[in-house]
Amino acid sequence: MITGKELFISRISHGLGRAAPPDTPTRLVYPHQMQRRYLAHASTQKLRDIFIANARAVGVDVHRCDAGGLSAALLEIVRKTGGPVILAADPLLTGDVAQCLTEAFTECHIWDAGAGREKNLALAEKAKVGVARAEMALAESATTLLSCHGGNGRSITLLPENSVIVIRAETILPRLTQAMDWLHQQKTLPASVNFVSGPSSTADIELVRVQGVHGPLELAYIIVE
Amino acid sequence: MSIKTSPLPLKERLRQELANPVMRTAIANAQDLLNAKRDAAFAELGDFAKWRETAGAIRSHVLENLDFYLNRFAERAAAAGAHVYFAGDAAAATAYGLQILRDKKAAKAVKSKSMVTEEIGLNRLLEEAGVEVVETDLGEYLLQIDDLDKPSHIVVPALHKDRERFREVLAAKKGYTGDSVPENLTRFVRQLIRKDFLEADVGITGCNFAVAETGTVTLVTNEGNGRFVTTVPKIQLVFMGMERLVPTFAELDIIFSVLARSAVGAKLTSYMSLITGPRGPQDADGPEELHIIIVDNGRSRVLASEFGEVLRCIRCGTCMLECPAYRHISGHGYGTLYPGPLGLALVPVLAGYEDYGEITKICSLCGACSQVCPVEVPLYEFIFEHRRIIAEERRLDVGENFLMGLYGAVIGNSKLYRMATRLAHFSALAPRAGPLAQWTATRELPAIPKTRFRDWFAARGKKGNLP
Repeated sequence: MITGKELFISRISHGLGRAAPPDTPTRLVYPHQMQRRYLAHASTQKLRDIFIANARAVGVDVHRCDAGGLSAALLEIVRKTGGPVILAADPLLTGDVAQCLTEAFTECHIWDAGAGREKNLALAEKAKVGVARAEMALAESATTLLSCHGGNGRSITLLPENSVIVIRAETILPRLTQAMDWLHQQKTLPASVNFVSGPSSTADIELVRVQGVHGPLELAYIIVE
Repeated sequence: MSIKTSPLPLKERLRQELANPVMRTAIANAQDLLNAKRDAAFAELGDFAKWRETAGAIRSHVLENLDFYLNRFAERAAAAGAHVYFAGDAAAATAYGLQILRDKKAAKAVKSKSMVTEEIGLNRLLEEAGVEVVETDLGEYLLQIDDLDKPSHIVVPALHKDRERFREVLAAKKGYTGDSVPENLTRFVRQLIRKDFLEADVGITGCNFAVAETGTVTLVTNEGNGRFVTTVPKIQLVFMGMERLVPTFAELDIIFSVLARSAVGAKLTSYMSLITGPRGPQDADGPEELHIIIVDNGRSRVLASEFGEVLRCIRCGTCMLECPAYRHISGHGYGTLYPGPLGLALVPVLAGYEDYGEITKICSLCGACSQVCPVEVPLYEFIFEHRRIIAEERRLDVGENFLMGLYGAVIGNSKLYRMATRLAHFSALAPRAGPLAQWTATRELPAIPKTRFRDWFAARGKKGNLP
């Protein structure tokens, strides 16, 4: 629903010297395209290495494994933090990984959107670790893109003290530019897309960086190759 | 709050700030540290001149087509299920927000940092209506519980408080018993606010940028409070200034790339949340209702004026970090919600010369702000133009007009000029009282010799001593 638009926008049109909004905007000409040159021809390995170096520089705990080693890599992280665990309902996580974690820890839950808001929020709030899969990752800023809808609830990577984000190595791209291209191509957008570029942090007290404010205190990435 | 953040007159504000050693040290350190980080971040990115030219071109394009993009944004956001409300002024914006909270019988709202909600005075109105409003940004939270202290910087609002002050306030207001180590203070606030997040009925946010093609609103935070506010409460209210748009995600890339680097010297912030409509039918969390309130509150007047390009601003705070005047008086010295060079360029046209003309004198016209602005707002040029208008067209400063008129009369009349220059050296006798006292408090007046050059020259000529 839209309220109050006509008068509001006509004031702007008048200020811009016309009676009504134009049918099409003027052409936007980019004076430069520097954003497209960054790591434009880098190999997957190079992008991965830069991603890892940048992630470690901002305090992310980075792990690597092959396709069969994801359960073991996750177990190693969760052994340190303890349970309960909450997993996104993602094919990469719900099969062997979930089974393996359930055997090792008494409480391992999978986000169940059908079970409703209260139940899922309560599980996420109780969990020590939340695990989700990234759509893609960005080398320049060590960023992961989370498409938060359906089985990948927003709370999974927000409420628990520890966050683990699983990344497929081949989805690591140069920079934000490629992520925005991807969003632009989506026919429908999920209600929530989150870019995560590090653990939550603040510098509000004397500009001293403190890791861990309202979001997760610790962030780990697992790169699956 | 509103645009005005202090009831004191300008000179009194400046006197207070200049006498505050904690603030002055903090701001100077912050400028040095953040400027070095920003320089390093842009050096690593490379091509700063190209980035700012491109970012500036994008912002300028949006302003030039603002009616088109607002229309498109509203349509797309509504198609995604959001309620879009256009508010002509602060009263309309706050009344709409309050109505939603009343309809939902909301008792508690959690809020992430937003300049426009400060501008329209939202918190006070909601509190008066019996709604508890919790600011969740760490710095804003501390200001709120410290008897509604005012922000001194738009990105780091509690910059003027040291860790000891944080500890004192938390101890006095919230029963904190720990030390003043930032980690411990932060953990304490995390636990306090966690409870508020889980209980709140409504989440209130600003909007860093909205994407016209998809009806998406975005929030940029490091603390994660922006994500919380848009995840747990069932209702979300988004307040956005009407100019905070980009056409598509391609432009969001450029703007976000310069925003975090300019604001805090980081490549990106820890979190960037893109919200398109309320939660989907398959989603268990996220708001059931999303209201987007688009605020004019004087902006259309700014846009139509010769200062329209000031609306390019992306609220990064770089101009303040670079400003030598801001360094000494902080945001508090300006007495306006938007301080520093941005404040001086924007506020007089947003809220009028009558109340906000005088602050333009804070500027030394050094021009550093225009050099560093990542979207090429001609800040210094605008401040200079405000001063020209105030002096030449509006003639608002009575004392200055009188003195300048007197000066013009004297140098325009040869008899008066001769008399005045003969008497000028007597000024050395009484410079430390009256109107000159302020000037001479920190400076020496130039010594004026007893003999004028023309008299000396004429005397030497008569004696035939010229070569």
